[in-house]
Amino acid sequence: MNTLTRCTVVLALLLAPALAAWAGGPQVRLDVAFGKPLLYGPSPERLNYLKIGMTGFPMADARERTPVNLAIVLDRSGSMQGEKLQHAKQAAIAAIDRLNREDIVAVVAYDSDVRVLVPATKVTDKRSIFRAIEELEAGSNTALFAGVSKGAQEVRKFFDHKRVNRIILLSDGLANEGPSSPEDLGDLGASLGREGISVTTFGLGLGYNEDLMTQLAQRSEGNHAFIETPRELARVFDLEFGDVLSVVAQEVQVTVTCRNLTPIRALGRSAVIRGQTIEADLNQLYANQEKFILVEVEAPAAGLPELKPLVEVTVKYRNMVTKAEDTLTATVEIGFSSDSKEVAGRENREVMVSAINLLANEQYKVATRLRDEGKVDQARQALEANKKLLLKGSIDYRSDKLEKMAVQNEMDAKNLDDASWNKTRKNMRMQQQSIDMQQAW
Amino acid sequence: MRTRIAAVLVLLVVVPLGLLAWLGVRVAEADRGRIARTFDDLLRSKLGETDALVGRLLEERLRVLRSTFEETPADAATLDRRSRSHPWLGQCFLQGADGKVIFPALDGGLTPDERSFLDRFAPVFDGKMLLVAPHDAPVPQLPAGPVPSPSWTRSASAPPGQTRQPAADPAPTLSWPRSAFTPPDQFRPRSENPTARFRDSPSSPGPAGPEGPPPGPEAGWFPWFSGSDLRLLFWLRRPDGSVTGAEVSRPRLLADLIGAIPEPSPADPVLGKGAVLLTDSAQRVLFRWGSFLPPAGHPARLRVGLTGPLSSWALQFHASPALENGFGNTTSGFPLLAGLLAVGLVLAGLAVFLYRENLRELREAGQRVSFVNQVSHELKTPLTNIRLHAELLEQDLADDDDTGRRRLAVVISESQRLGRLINNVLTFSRQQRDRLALKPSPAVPDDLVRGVLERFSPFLAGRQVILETSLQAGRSVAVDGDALEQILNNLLSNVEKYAAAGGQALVATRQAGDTTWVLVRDAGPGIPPDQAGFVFEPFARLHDSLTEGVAGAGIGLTISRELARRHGGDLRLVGRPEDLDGVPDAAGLFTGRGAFFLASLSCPSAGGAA
Repeated sequence: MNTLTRCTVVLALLLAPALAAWAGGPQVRLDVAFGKPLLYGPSPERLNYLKIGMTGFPMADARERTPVNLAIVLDRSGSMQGEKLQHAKQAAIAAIDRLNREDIVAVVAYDSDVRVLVPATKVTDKRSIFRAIEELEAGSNTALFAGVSKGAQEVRKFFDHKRVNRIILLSDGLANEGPSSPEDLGDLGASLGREGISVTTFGLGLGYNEDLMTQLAQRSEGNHAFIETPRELARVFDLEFGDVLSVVAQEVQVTVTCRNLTPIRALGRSAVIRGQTIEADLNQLYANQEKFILVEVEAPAAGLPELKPLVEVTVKYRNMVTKAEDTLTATVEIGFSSDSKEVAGRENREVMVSAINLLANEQYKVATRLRDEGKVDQARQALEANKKLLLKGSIDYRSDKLEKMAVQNEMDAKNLDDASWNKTRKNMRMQQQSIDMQQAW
Repeated sequence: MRTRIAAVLVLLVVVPLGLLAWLGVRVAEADRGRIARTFDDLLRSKLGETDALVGRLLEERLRVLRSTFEETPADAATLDRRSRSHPWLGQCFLQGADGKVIFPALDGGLTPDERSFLDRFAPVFDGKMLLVAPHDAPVPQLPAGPVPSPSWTRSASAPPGQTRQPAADPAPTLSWPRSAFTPPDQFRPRSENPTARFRDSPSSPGPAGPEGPPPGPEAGWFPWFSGSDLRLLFWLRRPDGSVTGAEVSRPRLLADLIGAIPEPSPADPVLGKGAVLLTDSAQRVLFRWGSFLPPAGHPARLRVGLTGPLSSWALQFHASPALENGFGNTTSGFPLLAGLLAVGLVLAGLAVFLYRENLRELREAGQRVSFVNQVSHELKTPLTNIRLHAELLEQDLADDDDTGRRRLAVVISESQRLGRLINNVLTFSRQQRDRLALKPSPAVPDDLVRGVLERFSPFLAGRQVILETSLQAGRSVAVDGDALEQILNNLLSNVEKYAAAGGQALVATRQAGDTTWVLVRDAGPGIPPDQAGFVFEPFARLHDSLTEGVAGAGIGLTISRELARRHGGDLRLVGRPEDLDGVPDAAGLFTGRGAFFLASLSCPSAGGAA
């Protein structure tokens, strides 16, 4: 009994959609893998990680990209006065300039009340749109909730599953009119996300509420960025538009059925685990970017041939190029071996790096919470411990990404004093959101 | 004199101006009240529109949710999927007819969201509040047809003041449990919690429960307070008696309301200068629109609760200070002020003009008086010389020169008359300049009277007037002889001028205490009672029939009375016997004919009787 079971990895595509895809156009790439696909038979390591990665196909022709339906929601509260508003206007104008006649854009500005500067309209007359943006002046309060609400209303006017429906929110201040808790905004984000509208949030300067802004982005699956100086606005808008203009799939539904495996929890992106099934939704996939669901699973206590751990993954999504609803499936097994060397060698480095990154991110969040509670020393210790964990991971799996993260942790540990905490926290929240949601920038 | 005129003129300006201002303010106030009322009416209807908008949104939402839930099976997989994918909804639920919560399944391992949902709504499910249909509230029956519009039905257990009933709706189909608006700790027995229902077909078959008629498919909203937050449940009663539904995402509902509320234009008569606040049950501002940012604690001009399941939310209108002050002021305040200013200017101009005219006239009159005064002075010396020399000439005349004597008497008497006239003029002018001062000295009034009578008798005799006398003032008193003489002269002169036709006259004097009376009565035509007060006015002369052909300046009586008054007494016309009351031994003096003057002088006793 040199080998209990031969490890087999089966990637089976269902026949009909596969044929359709083959004939009809590019498909999203589905990579399903365990961190440890081969376990030591006699006493298998229980904890394992399942990664369901989806990579958007490259866009063959930029001109054939998915048309977008966008609402740019700009903060024009008093604090935006001057350089900030100037850069925001320029960045918005430069970004809209990248759109073409098939795209739809709306511009909403809010201070103590909300004005729809440009109602949702096709980008045929850029000049009048730019003029409306240029005439924007700073006002008083920050009715952020109402701003997003009106932005959503504008997007909804031309809502189309064949478009990229998105709100880009820029704010530099605390929401102080209407609902302003991260929970309320997060719930609104979740609701919009379910509808197919993502909200990308840009926090400008050190005055905004990073919890609110990251919640809104994360729960609607938009991007988030902490923009320290107004000068960076143009670059970030550019990056965001890079994403917006490269959406290749939307309404992605992932269903995982486990056999002889117990899913414990999802790391990073949220997923609903009910018994042996895991369900997760993604709003969109961008060209050449991998988004993934990562689930911590528990393998059986002993490797028996008749109890072979197995997952069946189904991914449904709307293909933005073929406009068809596609389905991808995959089945992945865990093998058992009595050769511990072989077991170690078969470890999936990529999955393990992702897992360690997300696990460390959990600790990173814990450190933030500790610092919020005023436990500066404990927060520092948590960050230091996290750094060590990450460094070990980076050595074990030869990962630059983990090393970078370790450095980040170390830097943050040095910036927990009152003077720099605000900035550090904003940065941490951005990193946490970015890692959870695999934001590319 | 001048200050009085100035004061009168100032009053002339101020009084009408004040009156006008008061009227203007009153009109403006009435106007403001009217405008404010009109504005409030407009406001109420505007807020009512918003309320109706909210109502329509909820109604539409209920319709969509109802068909969503009716068209799909209420199994765990569907509800679970819906809980995680429906944009409007949070956690879905299914409660069996027996009250057991079937989904979220308590035994299947609850997700954190499911657990907090069940915690929040535990009293609702434990109390089977969604399962109970009240029997005391009428269930309106509807004809089959298009989706009916919801409205309120009054429920018997609704607390007073909360039972709002909208305008009669021909198809009342939907109601919300009023008592469900109270927080959970005020949860009352289920019989007092009528459940919201929505029934659209009376023909729906269903198992006949122990509680009465078979429940049809019903759906509605169920508002519930969790802490101070209003949570809204959508619920649908299934034919088997179970109830399914979901919690409505509150932020999403609010966001959609915000999206649906039209952006007010700055030119809007109501919202252009004010703000509407949508507030929740804890008075937190959920949304504010309009072009005014009310500071904290700013009082609302109008507050209207929402109708429907969100009745703990309210719409508040806050008027900007400009608007609040603008009810009448900015519109009619300026014209009022301008009008007042214009009228004030005209009146002031008129007053100044009148004042200047008056000044000029006064100056001219003063000049005239001064001229007459100077001329009179100039006349006095030659006249005195004439009289003196005429009297000397009379002594020089031969005794038998009767003609000469007669002619000389005329010269003397006429010069005396002229002297009296000049005296009067000088006295009048002194009075006008306020320089009339009396110098009483001891004298016997009767002596003075006799002297005057002596001088006058030739004139009277010449006009065939028989003069009677009754002199009883022989006591020496302090009296200004000149004044007494002048008074008597004037009275006798009048007799001569106007009453000579009567043929007789009486001069009497009386004394009592410190008062000396001089009475002059004639038998002429007399003075009509209606002109009795008039004769003492300066330059007044009675009607033509009397004064025709008679010379006179018309100041004799004026001066006489003034002199009498300066002497502490008066000069009066005696029209009735009672006018002589207080005058001793006056019986029989009053005859009722002719003019009768009574001069009283206050003359303190100066010595014994002569």
